[in-house]
Amino acid sequence: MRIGVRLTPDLAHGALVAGGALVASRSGEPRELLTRLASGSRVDTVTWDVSAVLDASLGSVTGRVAAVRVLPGVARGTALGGHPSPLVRSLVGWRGHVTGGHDLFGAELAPLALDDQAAELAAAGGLDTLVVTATGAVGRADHEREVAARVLAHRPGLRLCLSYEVGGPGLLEREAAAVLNAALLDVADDLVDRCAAATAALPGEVGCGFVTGEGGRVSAERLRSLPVLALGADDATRLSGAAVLGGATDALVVLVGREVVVGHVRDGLPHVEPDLVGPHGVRLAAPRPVLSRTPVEPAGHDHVVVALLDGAEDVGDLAGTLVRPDADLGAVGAACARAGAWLDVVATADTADELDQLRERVRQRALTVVATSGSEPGAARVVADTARPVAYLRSGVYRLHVRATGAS
Amino acid sequence: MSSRTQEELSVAELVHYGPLSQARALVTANLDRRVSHVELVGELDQVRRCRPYTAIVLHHAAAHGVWAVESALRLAWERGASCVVAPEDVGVPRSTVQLAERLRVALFAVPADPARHALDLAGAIASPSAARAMLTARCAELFGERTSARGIVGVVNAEVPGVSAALVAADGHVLAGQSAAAAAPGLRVPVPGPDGRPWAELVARLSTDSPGWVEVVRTILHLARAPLAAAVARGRLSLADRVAEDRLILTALLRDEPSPDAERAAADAGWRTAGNHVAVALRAEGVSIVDATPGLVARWRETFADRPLVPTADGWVTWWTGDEATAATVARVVEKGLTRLAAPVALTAGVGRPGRDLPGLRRSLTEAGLAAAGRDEGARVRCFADLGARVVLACLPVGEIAAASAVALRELVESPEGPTLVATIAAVLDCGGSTSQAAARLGVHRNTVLGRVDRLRAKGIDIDSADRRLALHIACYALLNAWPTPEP
Amino acid sequence: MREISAADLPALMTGSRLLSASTGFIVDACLDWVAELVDRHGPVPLVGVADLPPESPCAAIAMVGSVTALAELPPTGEEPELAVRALEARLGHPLRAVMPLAAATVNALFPIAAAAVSGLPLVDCDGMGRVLPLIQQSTYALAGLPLTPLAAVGAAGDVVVVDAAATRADPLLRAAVTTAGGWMLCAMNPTTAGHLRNAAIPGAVSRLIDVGRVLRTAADHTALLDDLTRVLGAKLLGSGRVVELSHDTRPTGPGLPANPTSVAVVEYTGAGRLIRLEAQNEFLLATVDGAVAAAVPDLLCLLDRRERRVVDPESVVVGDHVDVLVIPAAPVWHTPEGLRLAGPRAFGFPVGHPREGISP
Repeated sequence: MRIGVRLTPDLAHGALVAGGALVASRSGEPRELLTRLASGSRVDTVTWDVSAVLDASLGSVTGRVAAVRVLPGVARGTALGGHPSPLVRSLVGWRGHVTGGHDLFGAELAPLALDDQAAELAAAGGLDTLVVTATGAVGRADHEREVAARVLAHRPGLRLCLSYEVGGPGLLEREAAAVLNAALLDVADDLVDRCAAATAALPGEVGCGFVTGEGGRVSAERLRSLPVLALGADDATRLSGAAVLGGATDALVVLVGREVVVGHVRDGLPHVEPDLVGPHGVRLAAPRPVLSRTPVEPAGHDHVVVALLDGAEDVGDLAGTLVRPDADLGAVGAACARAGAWLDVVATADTADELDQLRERVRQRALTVVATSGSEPGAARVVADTARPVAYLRSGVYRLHVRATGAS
Repeated sequence: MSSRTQEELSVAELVHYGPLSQARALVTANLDRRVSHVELVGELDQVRRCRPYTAIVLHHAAAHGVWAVESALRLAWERGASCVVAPEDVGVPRSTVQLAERLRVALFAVPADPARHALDLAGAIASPSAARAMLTARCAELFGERTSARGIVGVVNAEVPGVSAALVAADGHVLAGQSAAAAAPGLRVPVPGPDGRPWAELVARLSTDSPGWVEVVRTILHLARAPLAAAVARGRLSLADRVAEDRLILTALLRDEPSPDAERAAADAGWRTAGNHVAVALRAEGVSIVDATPGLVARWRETFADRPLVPTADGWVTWWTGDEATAATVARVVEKGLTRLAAPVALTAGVGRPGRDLPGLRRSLTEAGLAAAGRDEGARVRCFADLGARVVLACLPVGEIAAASAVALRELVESPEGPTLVATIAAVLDCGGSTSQAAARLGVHRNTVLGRVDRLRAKGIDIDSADRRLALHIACYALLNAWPTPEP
Repeated sequence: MREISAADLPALMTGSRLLSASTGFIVDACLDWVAELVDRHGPVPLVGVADLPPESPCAAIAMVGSVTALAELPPTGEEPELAVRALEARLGHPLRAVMPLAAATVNALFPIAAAAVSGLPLVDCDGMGRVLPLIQQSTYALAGLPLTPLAAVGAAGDVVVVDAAATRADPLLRAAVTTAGGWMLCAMNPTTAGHLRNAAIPGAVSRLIDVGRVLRTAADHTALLDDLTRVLGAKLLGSGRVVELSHDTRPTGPGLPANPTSVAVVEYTGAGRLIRLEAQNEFLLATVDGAVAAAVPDLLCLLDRRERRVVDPESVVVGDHVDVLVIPAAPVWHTPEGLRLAGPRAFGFPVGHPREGISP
């Protein structure tokens, strides 16, 4: 028996799932909800979708994060020195610059010039969370780590968030992810505590996990340090939840409610891409489901699952499995979420053999992440694995995406 | 013109015995198309100009990638070419294979240099009969190098592409080759034994049956006949070697866990290990097995042909295989054969019960040995099944028991009518104490028997004593077996 | 005379994304930056090449390198001015106008930035009309305009001036680009307005803005295709699903960066024709069931049937449902000289362009 809970700021929606089928659902206060849903039966896992709470909290944590960029040159003007995302701009209360950085091949563009600035950075404009984003850190994070070490030496209590731990290529995308992550740390801490306590109140040994934006399940500890991963989880769980209720693992999912949302579920997982625009117009390096809000014709030979929400009746001329969910789709999707990992790496490989080795290393890394997210041993597997040459760079530079999933 | 067409090789033939046999067939559509020309394509435009019925071998053109292979397929289709051959290292993906299937253009991938492949193809096409002759010649050469039937049939299977062959005995048993070949209707060529009599059939299954190809395969099968006969003869000629080898093989085969080598050697020797077996053991009293073997085996061969006769520690063994073999039929055959054989030594035979496969053969051999060891007046061939529990007696250490008996029953044994009395005790006990039956068996009057029993009692031997009866019975049995058989 | 104001920039970007699919914060950041420059320095005059005195010196502005590298190492904002100044210093005289080399995504923005900071007008023209991988693959080069001297500026402050033959300039510059972090902003093709008249694809910048306005207002997928056909003469080659994606299936073309990719699309309808797209940085060749159906310099473009976005060779994945579109190149590219410079053979494909008919 698995329980999924979609947490909103004022209510929790839960679903009890057994063997891939919905058993019960209800809404209410989290702890009571869990007890009632379980109603004495043995629960193995509770998986929380906390994205709505994290999302709502972003408005109340403005100006709390200090951000420093490590680049070989100083940007002129506010557009290039700042961030194109209004949300990121609102969250950052102080900005700094340090000369340094690496290129995509791992070569140093400029030596890290920190000597005069370490104290100023450590002060972080009086804020207690500092985001460090160095160019090239996606391939080589030496400068981010060195900044962290030097700054911590000055101010041991400073909370640091290094961009390479959060995101993939694209300095601005990675900085956005790191800034959001830093801004959410306190909220996440509190949320994880509450969810873990509610889970622990159930009888027996019950696993507690959290859904990420790519639809995978991570441990409480991973969410505590990387809350940004949970953003967009509601889109992912709604898609996979609709697919579960429609009895499909590969389907085009059409959610018909106040608006029409179309997404894809492949192998039980929502189809995701990195660098997509998410809530608040923020484009994170972290992956999120590919959604279309314009009704499109189902192309090809897809299985189609149409979920009618909010009492919607009109499905137009869409043919497919019709689902009128009597449970919260997000809660169902969360209940069924499996341990997941998604890696986005830029690396060089000069021969086909080197590329194979590189891909294998990234696959192994992804499987390790899945294993540490509580997957049953041996159940972890790679479900997507692409290597694409990066255009207009010297040949041999690839961007690798690896997605792994497990059973938990 | 039509005769020319007839002569030209088809794609299938190039696959079967031409250079395309070295290629990996990705799409085998339209294999019956004839091939009149070969074009080594360095530039895609060459395909645009190629004549119908061309085999297109992509060289540098294909190095441009999968798209170029697809372009060549398309142009080949437009030009009515017969097939497209691409270098293996292009890595033709599934989508390209599907395109070739849709266009119905045969597609091959070759690992080696395409230029050489094109040359080979051109050579084959320029002289179709030469290509056919080359295959035939190669097979003939390899036949000469093989000494066993298995090796010779193996040449057909390995060298003649698209053909599976088997050597099948008259009873349908596969002597060598691929049993799948025997199952399907195909080419059949009778193979005589070394004596010229029909011995087996060479059976071949062809994946395609273009007339030219069938002829080539038939020729090759005919070529295999003489080497096969020679291989059989060779096996029969070197008798002494054969006997020694048979003995080794049988020893290896009768182990609890025979190795695959042993089974292979058995198959090479023409023995069937699978199926229903009835074993026969032969015994000759007072004869050295080693000395008697050559003469016996030579006479055996004359009578029983290729039925093996394998010397063992205390005699010889053989066996019949086949579902129709029963202990009774085998016993009859052996009885008749032994009569005809006119062996220089007196032979007795035991026949085991039928048994399946190797474990069954092993058991049947043991039973045959037991049955042969027993001494039963008047019967030269004894069946284990008929003897039942009596066969146990055959296992007794008769000599030792006889010696002990001679001491224990000294008075009886050393008395003048000792042998008569011992035979009488045995007969009475054999007949469950019935003196009339014993009399009938001994061919004397019942009173004679009764008189002997009285005399025995006088010597202190009471054949009615329950606690002594078994010992007495065994003692007499041993004494009778230890003494030379009385002259009739 | 037309002007480019900050309000025109979104439409310009939408239009240019059809020609190259790059998306990301970096494009947003550059857009904000150029808007900031235009606000600070005033709208950029967009002049026809005939509107300039023939002797006016002008040069093309383009980022050379990878957008992925640009996203990892954003510009400092000094690059356009430094590039223009460096070229002027090498030439020994000031420029009177700048023009794009290939007006697509960020390369539609950098010339505006250069014009804004230098107080120069932007010539309403383009040297590619699409994106081609080598800097000498332009109508400027086709018309015999010199590629060099060329000034290149990197985000780490590196300034490189290249004086070399046209064919040497690209490899030399690429080596510098690799060292400078994966991209450099260049001022190149120094010429005069008089020479530019017969060397440029006219109206290319204003066309982008017009196309962008159309794209931003298209009601649905069908309307979008109709609009693209109407405005750009786009032709639908087929619609289907991406079934295979393979890399390194053919040798790297002469001096081209990145690795070749081959994309197999199987059509939904009829016999399920196989559309194969060969790409290296850009889609270069399309065959349908093995027959060459379209090739560079015409623009091959994949439109995601669900997302209404352009799918480029970097972002295409197996399972994508796509429309394969061909947008004809400017007529000058279809001349024998144009095809020699940027036709399929220039990219290592030994086939004729469909417009050449049966190849010789």
